[in-house]
Amino acid sequence: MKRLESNLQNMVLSLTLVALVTAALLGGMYVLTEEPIRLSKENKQMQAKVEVLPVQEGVSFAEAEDHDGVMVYRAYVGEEFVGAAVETFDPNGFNGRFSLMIGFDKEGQISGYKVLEQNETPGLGANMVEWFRTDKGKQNIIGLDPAKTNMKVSKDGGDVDAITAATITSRAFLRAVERAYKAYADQPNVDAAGGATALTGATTLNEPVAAEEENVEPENVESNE
Amino acid sequence: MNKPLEVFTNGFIKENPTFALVLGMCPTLATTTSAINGMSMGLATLFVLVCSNIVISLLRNLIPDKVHIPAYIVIIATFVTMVQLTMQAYLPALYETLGLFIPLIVVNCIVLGRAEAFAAKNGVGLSALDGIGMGLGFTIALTILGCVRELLGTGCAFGLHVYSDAYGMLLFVLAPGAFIALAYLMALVNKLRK
Amino acid sequence: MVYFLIIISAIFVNNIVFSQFLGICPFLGVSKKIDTAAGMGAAVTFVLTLATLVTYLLQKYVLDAFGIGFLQTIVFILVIAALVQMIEIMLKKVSPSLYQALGVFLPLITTNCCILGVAILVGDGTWAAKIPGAEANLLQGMVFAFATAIGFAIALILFAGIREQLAMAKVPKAMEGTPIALLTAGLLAMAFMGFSGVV
Repeated sequence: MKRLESNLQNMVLSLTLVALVTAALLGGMYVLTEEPIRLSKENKQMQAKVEVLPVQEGVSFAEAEDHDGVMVYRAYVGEEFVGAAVETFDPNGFNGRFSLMIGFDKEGQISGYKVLEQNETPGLGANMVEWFRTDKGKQNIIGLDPAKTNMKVSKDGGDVDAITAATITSRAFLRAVERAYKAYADQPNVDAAGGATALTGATTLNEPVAAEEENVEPENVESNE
Repeated sequence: MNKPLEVFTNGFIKENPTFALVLGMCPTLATTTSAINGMSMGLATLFVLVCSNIVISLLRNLIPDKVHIPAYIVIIATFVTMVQLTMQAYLPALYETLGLFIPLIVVNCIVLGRAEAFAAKNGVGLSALDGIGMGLGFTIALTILGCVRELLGTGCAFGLHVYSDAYGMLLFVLAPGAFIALAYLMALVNKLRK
Repeated sequence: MVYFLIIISAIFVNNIVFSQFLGICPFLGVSKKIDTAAGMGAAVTFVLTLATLVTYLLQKYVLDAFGIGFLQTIVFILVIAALVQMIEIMLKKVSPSLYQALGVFLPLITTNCCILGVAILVGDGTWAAKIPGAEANLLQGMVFAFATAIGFAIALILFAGIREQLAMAKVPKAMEGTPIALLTAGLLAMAFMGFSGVV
């Protein structure tokens, strides 16, 4: 069959045909994949939030609180407050903005972290993904309490070892951690100053804790900044 | 040698898109930071190549000459979007790693080039074979380059530790290393062909 | 101030050829002489800036407004192809001398991955993450696109200058042609790595 002639009618017809068929194909494809895409996005966020907490089973989250761009997701197992996942960021990484999810337990100690998005140099700044949770020297921040530890790199007089040859990234990372901690400690029912906090008495989300506990000394529940 | 076999092997030996035709350089350099990434990019391109070759070959006599470029572009873009949506739904981690370069398959010179040079003039069977051959050639090239870069840069290949990454040459995982590794690979292929 | 940062970042720190790997095909193909390199650079600057304007508006007022973001690839590439055709026609009528200088590069630009790549980066707003203080709005996006194209032109002209000299040098047989060009590009990329962290 010889190729169709290039007259106006044929051109319009064939282009319309191609357009219709591709539109139908794509529309169908979109409808097919819409659910899985939405699910995978939700899963990813949920997974990041749960992963960094001190407990992973049976967790539910309160509504997100926005503290100047830092999102705090308070976590509960049943009625018990177990900590929070905080989505934090720093705009001044070596190659721009990066974001991470940090988990704090109810005493304010860091229970885990996960880097969400970063543009840092592979092999250098990008090592932040594992560096600060590897047990070597003073680089592991898991278990540290930002209220008691100086969360700065050793070079700046702090207690954390920076990534080798990636000081700028390390500083930015720790800034993000501090930012997260400040947002977390701003909450009403967290004892940011450390020490025993029997929060089992607090059954509703917004109840101030200070007046409730009999078996805890009156602690200052304000964050220490 | 019979025609189908010739068409098929052409794509990965005589006219290998990367080493012989020097086409599709952007994804070649950008996505080969590891062997898996290179291979996945190659396979995604293979899918688009085969599908678009088949459809364009089927429609080759129905599309008037003057509008063939936009028509081909739409067809190719459709398959690229299909790959995009599928990866987003079922392989989200890979989708994020390959990032911008998945939609860029639509301007990969290999795809449009083969459509014009081959699919527009040959039957469906041969066009499909050509697509598979070229796609395989591209995938093999990308996988080899990805392997070399990953091995030299981090001591791993396909995620398997071959040697400690304390001895890795970070350069190869970064931008300049892509150019350098490909340069030497191409020189090697050139040498072997003589 | 942020405009200055955008320009420095797009031209040097995140140069489109040496660190983003977009536009390699014309980079290798059209860089054998300095004046063809300059011509291609100028053509790309022109097309990229216009294309980004049109695709950004389309993204905002059509794709995002109607929730058909998945059609981005098709719509963008068709717009770019059409734009290039229109520019070619207009250029022939309006400025024949400019057409003489740039015209031959225009059809090549349609399949230039840097045009579609930058259009997608600006349409999605993802370019702004690398520059502190940048917001993904139209004006800043266009400054980014323009600066990126200038970066492409600079890369191309630099490379062409080197290749003109290289043509007169003795190169091992296996390295002749593309391999030595790639190696040179790699060395240039290393040099540009020196800019990283500046912004």
